[in-house]
Amino acid sequence: MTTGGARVRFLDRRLSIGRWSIPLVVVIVVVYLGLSPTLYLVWRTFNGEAGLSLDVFTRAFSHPNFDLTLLYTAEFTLGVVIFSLVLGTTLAYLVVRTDVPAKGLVYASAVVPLIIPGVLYAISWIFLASPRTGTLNAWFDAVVGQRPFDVFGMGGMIWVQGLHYTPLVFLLMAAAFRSFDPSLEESAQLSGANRRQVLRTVTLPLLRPALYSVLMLMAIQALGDFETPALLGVRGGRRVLTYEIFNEMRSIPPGFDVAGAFSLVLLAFTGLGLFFYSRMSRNSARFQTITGKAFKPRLVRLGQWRWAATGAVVVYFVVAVVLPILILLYAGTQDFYLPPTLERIGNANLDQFREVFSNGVLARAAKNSVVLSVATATISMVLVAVIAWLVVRTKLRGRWMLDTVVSLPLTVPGIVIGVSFIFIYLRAPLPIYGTLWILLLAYVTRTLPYGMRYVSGAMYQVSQELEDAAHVSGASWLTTFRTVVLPLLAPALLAGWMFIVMLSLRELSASILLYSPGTEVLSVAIWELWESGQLPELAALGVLFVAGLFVLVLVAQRLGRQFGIRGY
Amino acid sequence: MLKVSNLAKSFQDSRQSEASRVQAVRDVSFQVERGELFTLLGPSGCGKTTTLRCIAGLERPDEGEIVIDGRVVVSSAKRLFVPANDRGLGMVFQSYAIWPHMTVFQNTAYPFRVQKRSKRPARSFIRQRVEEVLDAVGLGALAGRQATDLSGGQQQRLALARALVTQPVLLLLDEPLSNLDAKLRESMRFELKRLQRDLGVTTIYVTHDQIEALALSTRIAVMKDGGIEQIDSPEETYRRPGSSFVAEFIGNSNVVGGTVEAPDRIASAAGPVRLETQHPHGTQVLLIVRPEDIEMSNRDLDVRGDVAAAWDGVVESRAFLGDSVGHVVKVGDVEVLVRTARRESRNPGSEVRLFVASDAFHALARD
Repeated sequence: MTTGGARVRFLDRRLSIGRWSIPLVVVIVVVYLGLSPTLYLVWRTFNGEAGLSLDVFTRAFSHPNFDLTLLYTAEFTLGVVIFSLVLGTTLAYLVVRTDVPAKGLVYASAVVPLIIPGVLYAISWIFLASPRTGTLNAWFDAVVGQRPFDVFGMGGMIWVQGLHYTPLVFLLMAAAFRSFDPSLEESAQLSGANRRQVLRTVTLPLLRPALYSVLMLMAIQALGDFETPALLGVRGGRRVLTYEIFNEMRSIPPGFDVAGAFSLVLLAFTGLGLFFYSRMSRNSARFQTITGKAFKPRLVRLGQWRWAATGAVVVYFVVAVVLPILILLYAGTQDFYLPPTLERIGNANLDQFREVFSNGVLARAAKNSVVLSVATATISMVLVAVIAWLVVRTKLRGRWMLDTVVSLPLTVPGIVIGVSFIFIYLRAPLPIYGTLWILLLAYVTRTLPYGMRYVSGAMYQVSQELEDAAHVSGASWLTTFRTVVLPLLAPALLAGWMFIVMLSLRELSASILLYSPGTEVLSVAIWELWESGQLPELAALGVLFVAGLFVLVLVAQRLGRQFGIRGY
Repeated sequence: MLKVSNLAKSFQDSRQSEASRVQAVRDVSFQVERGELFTLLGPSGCGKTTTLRCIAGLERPDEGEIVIDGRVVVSSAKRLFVPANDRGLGMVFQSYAIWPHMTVFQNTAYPFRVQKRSKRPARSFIRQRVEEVLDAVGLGALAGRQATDLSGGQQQRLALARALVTQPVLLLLDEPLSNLDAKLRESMRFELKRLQRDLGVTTIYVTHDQIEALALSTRIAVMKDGGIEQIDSPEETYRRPGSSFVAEFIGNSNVVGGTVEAPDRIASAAGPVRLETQHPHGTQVLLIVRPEDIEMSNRDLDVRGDVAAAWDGVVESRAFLGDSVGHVVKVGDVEVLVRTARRESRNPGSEVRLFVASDAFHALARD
């Protein structure tokens, strides 16, 4: 039986031609934002001043100490990944699977470092562990007569960034542990395995997919990290790719070609990471014990290990959270930075804080930050809401590609976004170079993937039948979207909005290349204060910044709870 | 009231090749009179829900025509498709699709709320109408509650109220009782039937539960693999199934193969059957007889006059069903299901004789 003459492709969720204009515009914008940086970077690098050639790579590879740069990049990435993975997974295991007390402490120490911007975290550790004026060194010296800590150098870099990434690993692995079916281990026990055997033969193998995917995710993050290596590595000669890129772009004249080549090398690595990550996610479907059910696992009793574990948790909390915050607080109350003594603490004053408030440049930076982050969050969420609807609700061909394109910027390090944006907009007819608009575009590009996670998850939860019922009751597509879909998505939209605001406020690695006098943001202001050696003012600003972000998180949580009550 | 002609719809997973096209509905046609409760009955995958969704406008058929109350809403020949929000129907979804962010009143009033300003009735009228229909379904006291505070049964009534509030020409019900527990299902069945009869609203009902279909329907369309097997009243469908599929889907049936030997005799796998038949000599037939229409007694009982079949067999197993007892009786190579009252039950191992009256047999030519 034929299906009729001309096979007109009927879209099952059809909109009239007029209404297609909005989704179409959104798709064009998103595809442009997702693809243009990488594509233009590739084109410009191979097609540089001297025309189409691979010449640029020869020059890049013959860059002094390029092989060392690669080595240090690899070393840093490996170190950070292993450190944060081991620490984060152990913490996650302790909290989710054992009866260790003080679990609240671990959760708190998971949230707080996520609020502190990378540049501040590194600087706080400089205060703590720099060889000459580091607080920890001073105390050690007073007691033992030695100064063992040196935060400058590969060890310091790995330590600081590892600590900074541990909360992320913790949250991801805790989720993995929580969705683990305890009956798999229980049946192993009933078959006669002791605790260690169960861990080795059942728990770890089944956890492997989650471990690998977190590993790849952290590797991609570490490869693109800029703040910590720039602050801690350069002094000891440990330069990584991100720093070299930054250096090339900042020199006079800017080394566009070399920066472009380095960026492509970096992209190649992160691309590889993404490839393995998606491969692993596909394979892990075999091991999927996530059925949407949250299991209540039987807690492992630590027995005699309880005290040691508790001690470890407390030590982690103090080292990762308390020390950095306290040292920043202290440094902001001093006129110039020196290790704290009782006398110096007694002389604490609020002069630096007053300085911060009366500083015009900082005020402007704060305004820029706020305006940018609010605008970014709003634009990103609107774009992503439409894309998510297209991906989840329609049967358009190729909508999976849309999802991929939106997620691409996740693998592009911030510094590389900065480089590609400079390439594109330095010569493009759009007069946005040197204005806040270029920063806005960069922020939107970087935050789209995160917004997408929030919204598409929520979109899947809003059952199709809720929309169908509205249609049959007489509502047009637009009315249905307005009266049924949006209200139900509101909690996720708000949560995503808040998250993007926080992400944008902390962004540095793209902003550092794209800002110009007048368009600084807070993170760049902190960086500038560091470069000019104004440490106490930096600390004061940092404290205020973190306090502000903390308040934002509290507000977000409160709002989230309020919406949750009216939820499903 | 409703006329469906030559409806056809297929689906394809957009990521897979052409070869994976599934023909959900193939050449379905039927008519429904005003005030009828017309049921689409069949197992999962038979196309009943797809047909319903085509009537609602939530699916676009590949071919066919649908006319509702004299108005053509879909026509593949004329390239016409009226969208779902323009058809003026009422629909209750399997999951009820109650909007969690609205109250009971707001859910019910929604169909009025989304009407164009110019066509929308006055606030007072809407309020009065909503209260009226909420009372009719028994939710009058809960109008101000958040919809999520309602129990499953109450949500189902709310879905019904919302579907009926604008007095649609056609009411569509997609397995509305399947999410309820057994007792509630039974009581809701009666309520639905009463409500439909009182309001006189033409209803299309989709279900896989044949008991529901038999209890509620004016007429039943039994569907299989995208096509309609039989359209008849509940009694006719039960007593005269048109195919072995219908016979086995509706109630329990014994289906015994046989050959026509004479105009009044059929040789069956279970034994000879004295039955008047129009089928010519040699036709392969299927004899259908319901378990409750078979009388079971001791072997020494004589054959009575009006009996069409008297088969000797042995009781293999027995199951107590509450209001009756089911037996599996081995007659030769054939297993015959027999249902008796508790008093007439026989133990496993007993030798019995099965009597079947001639009007209990239904003969189908094997196709």
